[in-house]
Amino acid sequence: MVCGWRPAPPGPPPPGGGGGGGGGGGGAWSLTGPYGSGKSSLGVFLDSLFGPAGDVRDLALRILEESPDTAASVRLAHSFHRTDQSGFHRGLATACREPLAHTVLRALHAAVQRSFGDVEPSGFSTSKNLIFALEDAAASVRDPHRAGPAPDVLLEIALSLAADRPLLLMIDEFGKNLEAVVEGATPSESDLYLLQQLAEAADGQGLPIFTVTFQHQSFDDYLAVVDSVQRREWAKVRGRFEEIAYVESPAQIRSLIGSALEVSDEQLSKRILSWARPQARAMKALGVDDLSAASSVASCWPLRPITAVVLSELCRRYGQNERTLFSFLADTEVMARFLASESPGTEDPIPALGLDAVYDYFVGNGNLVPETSVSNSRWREISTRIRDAHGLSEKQLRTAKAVAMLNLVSTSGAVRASAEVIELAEPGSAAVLRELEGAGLATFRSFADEYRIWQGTDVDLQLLLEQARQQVGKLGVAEIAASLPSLPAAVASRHSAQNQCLRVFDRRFVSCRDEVEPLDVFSHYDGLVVHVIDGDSPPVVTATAGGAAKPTVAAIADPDELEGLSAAAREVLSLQRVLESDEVKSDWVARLEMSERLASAQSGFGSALFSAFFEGSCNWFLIDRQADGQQVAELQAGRGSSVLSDAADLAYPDTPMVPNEMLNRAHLTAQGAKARRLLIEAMIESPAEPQLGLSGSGPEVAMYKAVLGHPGLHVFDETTGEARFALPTSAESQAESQEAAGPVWQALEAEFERAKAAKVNLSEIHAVLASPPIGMKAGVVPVMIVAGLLARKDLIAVYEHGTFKPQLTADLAERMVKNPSFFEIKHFADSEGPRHSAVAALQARLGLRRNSAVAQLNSSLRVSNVLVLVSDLVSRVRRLDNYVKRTARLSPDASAVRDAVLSAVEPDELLFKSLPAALGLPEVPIDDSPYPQAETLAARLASALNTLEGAHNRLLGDALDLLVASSGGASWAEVVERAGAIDADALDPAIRPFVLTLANTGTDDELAWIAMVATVVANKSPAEWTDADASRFWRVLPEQMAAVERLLALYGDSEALERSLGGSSNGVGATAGISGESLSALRVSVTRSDGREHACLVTVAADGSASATGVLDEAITKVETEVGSRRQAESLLLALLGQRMTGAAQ
Amino acid sequence: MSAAPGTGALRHICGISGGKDSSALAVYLRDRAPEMEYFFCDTGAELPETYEFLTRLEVILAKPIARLNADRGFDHWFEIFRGALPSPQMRWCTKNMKIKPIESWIGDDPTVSYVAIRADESNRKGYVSTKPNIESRFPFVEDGIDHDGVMRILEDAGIGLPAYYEWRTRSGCYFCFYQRKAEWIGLADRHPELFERAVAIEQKVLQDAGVDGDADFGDQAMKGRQYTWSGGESLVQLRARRDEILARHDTAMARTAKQRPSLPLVEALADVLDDDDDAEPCTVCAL
Repeated sequence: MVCGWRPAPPGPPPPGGGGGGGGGGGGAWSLTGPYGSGKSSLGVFLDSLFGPAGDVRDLALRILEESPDTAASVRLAHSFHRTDQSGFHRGLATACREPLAHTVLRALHAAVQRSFGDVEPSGFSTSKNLIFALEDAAASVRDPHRAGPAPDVLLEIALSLAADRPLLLMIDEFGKNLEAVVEGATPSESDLYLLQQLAEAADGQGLPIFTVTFQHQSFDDYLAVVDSVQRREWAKVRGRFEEIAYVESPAQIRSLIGSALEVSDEQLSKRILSWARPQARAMKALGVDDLSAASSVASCWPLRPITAVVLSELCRRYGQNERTLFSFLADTEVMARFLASESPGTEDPIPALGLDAVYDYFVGNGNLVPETSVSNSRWREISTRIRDAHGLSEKQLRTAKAVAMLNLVSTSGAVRASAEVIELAEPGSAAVLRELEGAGLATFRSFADEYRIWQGTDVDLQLLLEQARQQVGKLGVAEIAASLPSLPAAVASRHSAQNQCLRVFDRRFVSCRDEVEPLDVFSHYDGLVVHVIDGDSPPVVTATAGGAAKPTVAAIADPDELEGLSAAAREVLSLQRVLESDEVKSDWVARLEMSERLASAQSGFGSALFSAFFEGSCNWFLIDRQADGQQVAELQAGRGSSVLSDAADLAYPDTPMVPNEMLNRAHLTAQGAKARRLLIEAMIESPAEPQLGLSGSGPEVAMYKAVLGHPGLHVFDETTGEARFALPTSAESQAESQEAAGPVWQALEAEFERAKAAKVNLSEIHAVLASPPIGMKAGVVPVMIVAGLLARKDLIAVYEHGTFKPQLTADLAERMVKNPSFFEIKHFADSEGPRHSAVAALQARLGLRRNSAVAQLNSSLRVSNVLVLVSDLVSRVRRLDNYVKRTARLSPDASAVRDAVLSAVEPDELLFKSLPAALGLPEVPIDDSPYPQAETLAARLASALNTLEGAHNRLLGDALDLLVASSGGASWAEVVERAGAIDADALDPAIRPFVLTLANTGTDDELAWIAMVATVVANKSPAEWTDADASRFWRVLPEQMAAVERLLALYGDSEALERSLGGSSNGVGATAGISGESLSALRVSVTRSDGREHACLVTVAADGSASATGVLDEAITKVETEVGSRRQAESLLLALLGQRMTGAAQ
Repeated sequence: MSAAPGTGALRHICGISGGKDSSALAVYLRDRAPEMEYFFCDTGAELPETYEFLTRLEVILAKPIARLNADRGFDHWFEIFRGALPSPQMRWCTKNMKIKPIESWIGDDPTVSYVAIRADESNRKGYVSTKPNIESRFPFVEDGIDHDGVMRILEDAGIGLPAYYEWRTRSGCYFCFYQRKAEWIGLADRHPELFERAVAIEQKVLQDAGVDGDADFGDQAMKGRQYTWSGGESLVQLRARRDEILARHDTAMARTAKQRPSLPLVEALADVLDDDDDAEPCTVCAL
């Protein structure tokens, strides 16, 4: 071990050679140096130097000869203390996180064992004490309540040993003892006392006790977080120790490299030396003095000198010094592979390891990850850019890595990534650097005269952070609470599992001076947890407008824990502010770094939060806000979320058990919403069917069972053979129901009762069911409300946007689920007195039967009520077609009833006021005064309804009568048949549709047929007619029928003519006549002013008409000259011909 | 008679859009397929002319036309979606008021659907269902019936054309976002009350939802987002440009009439594409 440790000049002053070497007393030293710098090895080396005479000490002294003065001091010390043969008592122990006494005890035990062998009670003067102390130490490890070895006892052992010969006590990893002090794991006073006594007792009594501690930070750094009193005490002890900084310079590390590498081949050594000369000159030019001699450079081979420079700097800056350095030098992947692959051969220049090897080992392979985030950001940036640079040649890549390594270890000074230095690392790289610049991988920064792989940031993050910290420092607690990241919601696990209802609490930070607004009853959270971050009392919870709110739970933490939380919160806020600044937003390197630091700070905040508000570490209160003030009940903290479960138990004792996760939640999934819609549709459309007619195993069936079936809210009645919504009738199921949904049902009934006085908005009922003590989830509420409305459907009227809805339909329910606030309900209690009689009379006349769950339960309620009657009336009148809704051609009763129903807003007003008024009857009184007109009202209303419902068919019947009359009394079947004989294809478009419709045989219903005819004549369906349309029809139909009759007459005449001509005519048709190939016929009729008519069939032979046409044209032309126009001439001649015809007839 | 729905027997159905082609097909099939079932997807927001025409057609067919979706029209969905309006990007209207009701009405019965594509419309795509139990047939294409044939069928049946053809090219909702700017002006002129209703809907307000008055969703769906039925301007702004829009429309009409002088007015109108509006029409709405 000693051989492997090579002290670099100047070494640390050995004990005995300094503080106590020449004096009578001892001394104390504290050696502080970074990880991996060889502190522990130094301890072993000192142990060897001051051990008994022998090979080990000789070897150690030989090693020390490189520093002859020091070696002489050691020899002098042995001589002074007469320990040339025996050596010192040497106790070397490595500390753990334990009281110092335990470590010192181990060191003393080791010293005794090495000097005397096994410890016997009679071995030396205080050996009994040592045995007792060892027992105490072992006992205190087993049982923390027992005290460990007392400092005085240990001191006595040390003094008794020192009285024999000098005692060298060395404690490695002394920092661990100090950490135990910081964490409070060990009483600080006893450790202080022991350390102080060890340092002082030796001095005071002149006994040679030499104490050396090894740690990698100074005492002050370890003890930075303890309070000021403790720090002052430790400062006193520290004053007793001589502090030695154990730090090696890069030059020392390089010297170590040189001594670690050896070349045994002489020939090769010569070649290396000649290679080293120009390198050494270059190093001198760079100012690296320790490598300015060719021998120094040669000793580092196979490393290039610049590689050695960078390597030493890298290990010092990012790694654990020699430990890191030797891991590289000893790594088979690096040196052995180089030696195997790059045989020195005989040609110059001799190959050497460049910076790319260092890059590959430390950065590329991830053997080194810097600890501090500031270094990390540059490290990450460079390694990412090199990793992602594709398509580079080997030479380019090597050069890029060389630049990268230089960038990592320096940003200024002689050793930087300048062209000259890169040339040293990678000879012949000038052109390659330009290529790398062209590829955008490297940038030359002229102000720094260096190439850079990393972009870096110009943002002064430290300054920004300091500014942000100052700003945040001025913020009040409330502002900090408001800006902190939102807390994840918490689940009351036990309560949720027991009640099959997920209870989730929102969480917020508040100041104890805040007024906290409780969660609205429509919030999807079941309660609010407020974490008070600045006090020890619960905050004030404000009252809500409606009085109902979800519960609020306050968590009050230990003030000490809050300080840590506050500091962590401020750091998070500061970093957030920096990250949100424009400078950082626009700089990705800075952003990356700040993001990492923020993540780290948030993690710290999370830990602080946990410490402060861990269930068992703070006090919990349930705040019940009533209109007249708030009541605060303390909750017992337990494991996990038990405190929230307790709060939920108290707040929601009446929660119904709805064992369906898909429905029993605040927000339904798309599938859940669909299943609930199907369930509600089935509730409305198939209430009488068992299980609402739902079958299979779909989610709607599961929902049915959970919310309606199991609690007995929808039951099958054996007596009626139908299912219905109701409270269960059997005692057993009623008991179940009470348990499962009783309080909900009672709350619904109370709301329905409230709706007797005035309309109640559905959102208010939602609020009641969602609030404590029921706390029903929003997913279940609509199902329960619809069940209630269906169970009381004869009593409860539903209004949408203020309009009475005669029926609860599926689409209405769908809108109701979505926007409950648009709906209201009103309770129509069963009528009494004269109104009851009127209802009974109307029910009998209208043939209505009450069909409700209420009637099933109680036979005294089987008389219908207002809602049943009005729902029926409104539905019947709304079904009338537009003609009937508009026409004035009705009896006065019918039109007055129609108008009253169509304009009604309130059911009871319609039934007891508007309808009697429409029929000229007095209102039905609400008090007990008699109403003898009840029967009259019922009879006339029933009659009016019949009139209205028959009005459409009566219109069609009248139209049919008119048509029959217009066709000379022929039945509709005859009209169809006769019209069918006409060749419609040849008809004029103006008459063709009418004839075709008359001839339509597609229906055997005469009213359907006349409706078609009426539609064609009026160009509008009778259902849409106005009275004006009807009048027009009555005028036009006879005219059109007359035209058809004339057409039919023409057909009759032409057939007779055809028969007389021997059937030479081949074709019939056309409104004006019948034409064939050789013959055309016209039926000419002339009507005189006295009403007489003359009609005759005129045939015109095709071949004979040409000459007659010529004569006619000639005549017209002649008359035209007399009367002035051709048209008048034609009319005049036609009139004369007509006169002749009628004259001839006469 | 047609097979009862849900029995699994073969059904014959014919969808009516309220336009001339599907109406003519219904009449054409009246005498050829007595078992035919006619249906109309009612959005509850059709033009009054369409509703009037449907009753006319029902009489002529001597059969009721099944009104699908009657309970869940536009106003229903407007409330369900809390004022979130349909648009070409979010066409919930077509999905909820056309496709879903049809497919639900058809169910799983084997069905022959008769589609009113004319023989002269080789490129037009009608709604052809992808459901495996639906077979589509095209009687007009099979029988070579073109535009003139369709007009003849309607004339002979005595029902003619729906009255909206005087000012609008297709049936559909009165606020259809595919209608052209000139058609919006037509709505404002012919049905000012419907135009006002469309203006209100644009503001997420359902006029006269009940006796309480309007249902206002301004604070709910897509708060802050100003939707406009017609691209680039609100209906109020559009109406303010009435004269300009009509002038451009007349110019386009004249140009088309010049290019195709033999076309009847109805066809010429259909061919006019206002240069400020080239949106694809809603083919499914024309079912």
